[in-house]
Amino acid sequence: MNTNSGNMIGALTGPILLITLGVLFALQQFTDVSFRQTWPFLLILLGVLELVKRLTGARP
Amino acid sequence: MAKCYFHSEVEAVAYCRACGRALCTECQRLSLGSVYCPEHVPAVPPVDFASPPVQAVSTGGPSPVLAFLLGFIPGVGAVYNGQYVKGLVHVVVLGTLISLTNSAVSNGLEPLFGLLITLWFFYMAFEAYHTAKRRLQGLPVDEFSSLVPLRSPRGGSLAGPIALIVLGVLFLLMTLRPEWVREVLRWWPTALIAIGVYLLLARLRPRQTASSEEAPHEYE
Repeated sequence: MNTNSGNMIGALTGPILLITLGVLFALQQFTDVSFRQTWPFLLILLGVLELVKRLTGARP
Repeated sequence: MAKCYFHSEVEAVAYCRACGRALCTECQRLSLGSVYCPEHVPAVPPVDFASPPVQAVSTGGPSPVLAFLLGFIPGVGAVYNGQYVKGLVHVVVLGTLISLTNSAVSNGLEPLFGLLITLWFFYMAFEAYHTAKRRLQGLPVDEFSSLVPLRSPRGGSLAGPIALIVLGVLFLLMTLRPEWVREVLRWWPTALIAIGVYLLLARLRPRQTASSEEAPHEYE
């Protein structure tokens, strides 16, 4: 069960990052929030996903 | 075909690597992957099959001193140890530091970044030195090892993701509220003092704590 959710996170990382990237660029297009300001969200997201993966998937 | 130097009636099958004499099957001596005559066959210590194979043989193992010197060239020390990914990481970290120094982020923090870049150069050199030393001793080396143990004994560590999150929050603050960050970063010299005090206290503490850390790990 736990290993499954770990693998699940790994499989979802790419799509989630792509969606976030899309949202950030959409914000740049339609609001004043530019991507130059929001790009660190990607780092945080990557860290959170990795953390969840390790906490749930690392232990069999 | 030439005749054997020692047995003039026998056809030669090989030549001595040292003196060039023609040799028959009876006279040729195979040693160190080459052919020699009985006179020039080098004395090779018998191979001890019971002991595990050692990476570095007496002929030309890695030189820690050379690795140390090459370590000052970004990435080259790691490449000398055969660790290409680590070399790339070293170069990328240095490049990031340099570009941060030249960007507006380092406004007023140039001494800090200068210190970090200097430290990084020495880190690369010492890292290459220790890796070469381990290779010389036949110990296994890891592409992602470092002077500071980042990986927990259990394998997956949480330090990486947490560092990523902290870094992300810092960069986010820097882009959204640069004035806050600047206000806080003005106090960077206190970090040096804090690290110094921490190290001092760690040295003054009795040695017992070091051994207690080596508690039996849980293996899954």
